[in-house]
Amino acid sequence: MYETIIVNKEAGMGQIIFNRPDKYNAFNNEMLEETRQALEMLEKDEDVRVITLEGTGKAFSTGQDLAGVDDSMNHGEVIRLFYAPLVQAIDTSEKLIVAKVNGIAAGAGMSIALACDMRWMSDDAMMTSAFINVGLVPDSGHIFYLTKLAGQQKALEISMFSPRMGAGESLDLGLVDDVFAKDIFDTETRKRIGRLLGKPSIAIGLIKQLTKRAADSTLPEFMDIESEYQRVSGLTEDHREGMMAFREKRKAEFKGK
Amino acid sequence: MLMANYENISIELKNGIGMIWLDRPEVNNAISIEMTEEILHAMECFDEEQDVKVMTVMGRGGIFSSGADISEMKDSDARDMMVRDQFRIWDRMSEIAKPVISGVHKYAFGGGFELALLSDMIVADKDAGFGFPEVVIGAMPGAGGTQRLTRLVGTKRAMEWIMLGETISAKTLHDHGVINHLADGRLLGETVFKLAEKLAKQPQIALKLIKESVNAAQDNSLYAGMQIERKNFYLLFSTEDQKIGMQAFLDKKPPEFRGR
Repeated sequence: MYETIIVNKEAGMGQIIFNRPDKYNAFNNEMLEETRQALEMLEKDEDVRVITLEGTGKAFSTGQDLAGVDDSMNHGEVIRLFYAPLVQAIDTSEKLIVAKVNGIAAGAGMSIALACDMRWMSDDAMMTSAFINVGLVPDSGHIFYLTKLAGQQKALEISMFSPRMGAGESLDLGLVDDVFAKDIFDTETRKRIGRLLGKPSIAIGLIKQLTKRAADSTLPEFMDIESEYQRVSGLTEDHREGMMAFREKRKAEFKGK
Repeated sequence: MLMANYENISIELKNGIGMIWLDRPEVNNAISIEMTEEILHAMECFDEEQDVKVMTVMGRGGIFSSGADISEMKDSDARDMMVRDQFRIWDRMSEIAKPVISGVHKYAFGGGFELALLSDMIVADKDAGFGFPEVVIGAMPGAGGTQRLTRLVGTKRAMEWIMLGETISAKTLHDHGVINHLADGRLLGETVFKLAEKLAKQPQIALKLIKESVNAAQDNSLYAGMQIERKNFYLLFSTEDQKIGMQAFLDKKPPEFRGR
């Protein structure tokens, strides 16, 4: 069904794997569109509670496939038609989306990783902005998320000089949330996903949205959204289960409903 | 009260709220001529029924409406369309005297948008989409859309939106004053009913005369509109609710209106 990505579903996890290993998982229009479609499908799937993005082979993704870039290309249009819908789908999703940065994340590959809700990195992986090297501004929300994660000044520096940032540096700058040794990367990230799956996922999705609203709302607007989300959470089975488990002094078993 | 067996809608009466549900979710609540007849019938019955204070229009299946049933008109010529004059039914919907609130889930396109626009207030799912895509199939809005939307947002915006037939977000329409309230999709129903319950507690005759007066602002000069307003204002002094309301205010008590 998909040509450029692999999509798996297992036990509450939806997995999207960029699958153009011979191109270091560089994005072409098809891969961007397929990724967006897969996200939309997983978003609607009630059994899926956490979504992961990763790449096959050595790379997470090296960004826009430069093989497709020539004088006839309208760069702005490519962003509007392909990158923006994907970044916005990640942003508005009410599911937690984790980037498993298994290898190099460069250019728009780094952008997509930054747009995710969390990033876990393999200790041999690397991130680099790269846009400046071809005379372009970082795109696909790159600077939007970079300023939030690392601050305005660091975002400026990273965008202008495009340093190659290893796992340690990425962690220090706050660009990733955790780093795992290459050989245990898969097992450790799976364990983490398992822990997330045990949580009440509707509340998790709404928490994701609230943390975003904190940055773009006034306090009265925020309190308004918060009260609405609390009403939604208050209607979930997971809330009832949590209350019951508390009274019965046992561990709650959440179902994401 | 309501004798009709509806095929395309369902209705319910609860706490003074006359609820009308577009009920063809299998075709995204597409509005056939028969459905418009049923909506009008239900609205007119509710308008006469004393127990109904306010009406709501929503769609079943988490969708408001994808628009008119195109298959019904595809092969018609202008003469057929004029003889059938299907929009007369819509004109009568806007003659309803009691307040009508539309609650829009997911989308209201074409006739769905027309239906929302002819109601008195719109509450929408914050992620809902609206629009008049008729131009894409070589047609245009016909139930008042070009007039109502233009009066709400101005000629320039209405021109572009209707000429391109693109989807307009609920947020944009809210910013332009077309939508009263945005709500999380999961809370749309309760948001609509909360607003309806507030209206149901208001003095009913005053609401009717307010509706007539506000609508008069569309069709009249300021002077003529103000004459309508003035007469309606004076008229309210022959209602019990005006006496109840003013006495309760002086007594510093909440009023209990009787709808008379």
